[in-house]
Amino acid sequence: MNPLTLDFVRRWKWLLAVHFAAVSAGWIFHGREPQARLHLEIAVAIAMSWDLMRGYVRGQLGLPQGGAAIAAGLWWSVVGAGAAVQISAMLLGGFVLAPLFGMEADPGALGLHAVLAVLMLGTAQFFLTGLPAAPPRTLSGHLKGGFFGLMWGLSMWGFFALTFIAPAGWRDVTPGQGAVLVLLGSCAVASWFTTRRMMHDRAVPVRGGTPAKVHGLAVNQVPGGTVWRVRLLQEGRWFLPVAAMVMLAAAFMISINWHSIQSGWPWRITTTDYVYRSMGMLCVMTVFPLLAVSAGTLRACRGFPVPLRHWAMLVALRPFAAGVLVFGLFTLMVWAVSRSSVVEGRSLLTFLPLCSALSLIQALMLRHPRLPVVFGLLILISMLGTLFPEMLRHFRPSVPWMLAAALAMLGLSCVLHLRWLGRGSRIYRLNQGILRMAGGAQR
Amino acid sequence: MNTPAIEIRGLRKAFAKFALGPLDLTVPNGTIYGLIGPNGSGKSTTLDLIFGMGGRDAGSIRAAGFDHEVQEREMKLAVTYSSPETSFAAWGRVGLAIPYVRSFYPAWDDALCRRLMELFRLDPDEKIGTLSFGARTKLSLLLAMCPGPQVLVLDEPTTGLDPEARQILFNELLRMVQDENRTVLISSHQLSELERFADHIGILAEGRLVCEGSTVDLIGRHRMVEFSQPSGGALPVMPGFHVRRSQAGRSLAVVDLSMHPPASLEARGLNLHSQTELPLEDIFLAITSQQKEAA
Repeated sequence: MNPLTLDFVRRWKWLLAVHFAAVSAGWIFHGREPQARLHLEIAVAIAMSWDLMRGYVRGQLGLPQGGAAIAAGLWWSVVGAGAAVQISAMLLGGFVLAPLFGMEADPGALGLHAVLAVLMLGTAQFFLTGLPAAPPRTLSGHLKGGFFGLMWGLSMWGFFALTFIAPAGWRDVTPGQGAVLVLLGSCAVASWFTTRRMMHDRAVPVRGGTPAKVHGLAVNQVPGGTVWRVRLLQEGRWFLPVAAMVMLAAAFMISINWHSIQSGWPWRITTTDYVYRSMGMLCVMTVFPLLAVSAGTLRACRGFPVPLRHWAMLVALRPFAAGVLVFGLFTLMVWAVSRSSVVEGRSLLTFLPLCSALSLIQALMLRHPRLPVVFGLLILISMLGTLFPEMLRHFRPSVPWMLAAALAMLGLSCVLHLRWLGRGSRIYRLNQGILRMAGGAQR
Repeated sequence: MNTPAIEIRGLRKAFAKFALGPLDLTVPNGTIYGLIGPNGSGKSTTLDLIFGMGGRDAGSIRAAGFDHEVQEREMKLAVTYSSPETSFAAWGRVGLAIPYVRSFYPAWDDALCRRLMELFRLDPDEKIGTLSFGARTKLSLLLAMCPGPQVLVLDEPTTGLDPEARQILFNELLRMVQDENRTVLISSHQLSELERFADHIGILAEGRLVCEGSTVDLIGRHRMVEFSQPSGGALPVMPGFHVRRSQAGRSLAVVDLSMHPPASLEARGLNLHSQTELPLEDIFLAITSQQKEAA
């Protein structure tokens, strides 16, 4: 095995173990329940993206090994190791454990999904290799970076969604689905070649040259204006791209779901359930970039003449405000497409406690900014996003209760942010990596 | 009464594998104070604690006359901080980060900002994420110097800077201290530069301040002493007396003459052959290695 791949497996063994356990448990029931055909390969690609953000490639280039070997190692780490874990877990769950639980194995489904696993991982690697290694400097760079960023973001949801929409076996594959398989196959093949290119991009990240002379643009000529305008513009810089990114993904999801409803596909989800089920993903997509911004800028911000309580409030309220904005827009979009009452008005208030919970979870992440904790909390958020509204719908709490719960959680979150940003020191000394994205970590 | 620029009393902060303090540190007004120490000795932790990046377990910190917690805003208006770990990349371009930081400081010096942008060749249209390490350091220094602070705290300010930029930096710092009576606290490993520019030196080792004084005094009182011990026996082991080398009956030791004047050494039976001046780096090495041995 390529030493890089071996190293990748060794470092991410805990993630691969969770992946293996979850997939094998799900595939026990694959014969009866299509939703049990779990595909979690994207977790392996995400792990590789975190390695790249930590500057893994540059570290490797200093070692006595060729560029081709490094590129091959990176490719096999994602596609090879990911597929090996996914397929072996599917075989264990589907062939070995299923009979023990009185379930039947479906070799057709296993075969198709094994091929899908390889193609999806190759496609994920293709998107990963297209992400910019440094902030783009040209329009084409922005367009390319935007396209691959969007596809990479969507693949996180899209590949998971394949669990629901993939046909049961080869015989059920429609011509349209066949075309999708060919497209995935093309991306997977291309990823082998683009990995080499990516390695060079990341090895020598784009640096702005030092100008021979700076024609002193006076800082008071820099667009800005009043103090609050400058600060609000800055908040918008962080806030709006997050909302836009989530909305783009939401639009994609809604259009697919709407198409499925129109086509009468068996896996379609009713509109109301759809809003609730999407919450988990929207929570993760909303809170994570904002967490990265908060973590990446805290050190600089704590040097400014602003009392700790103000920063703590600002940081605590960001995910809450973003959550309310995103969920509000999402519900509006679903309503606009379906032209029907999406959810009963009272239930919409479940957004508020959920958004408060996002803020609370962010406090925990800032207190323990370590990868396993962040990873675990992201999983918790995604589960919470689905379970929390269901629980509230089941127990039907009163409106005042929900408002009080939201306020109480938000208040607790502010207190925790205040305490932990004041006491903790780890968050101010982040290593290069996942939470330093906004702070300038290398991709 | 002349209030110290920074006054730290009984500061303690414990981590899993390291404990800072108890630390007492006084940075006099209108000086350049060099805080030096081995990696992991607690320099950056001390500076971070001044700015509330982590909570102290005990002790008090006053900077520019303000309590760093109770009067946090007032303190941070008067005291600014530049450190290599601080990143402004999230602000996008140089020309966006500067107005943002400027919006916090009423006394921001636009003329100095323009001058430093030109001297450091920082292009306002440049993306911070694509700046070289040295250029990022320059930006961080500019953002710490232009608010017109009474006290400037710099953690490793010369890391990644070219010689020209280092010269510009120290010229500006000297101007701030001499012309405007401001104070600079620098943590650095560039001891030759500190020896030239710093008025005071504090040496931190294993989380404690083990030596402090004016640079002239610190260098003046330490000597490399060549001696022999006719009576034989073990070489003396005592604070302020660090044997560096021993060969063929002759030994070399870094000696703090304020603790061990030549007469007292001779009274211990040592024959002194020569005394030579030492650069700050050798004094630092002697003091910290003695501290390490003691630990």
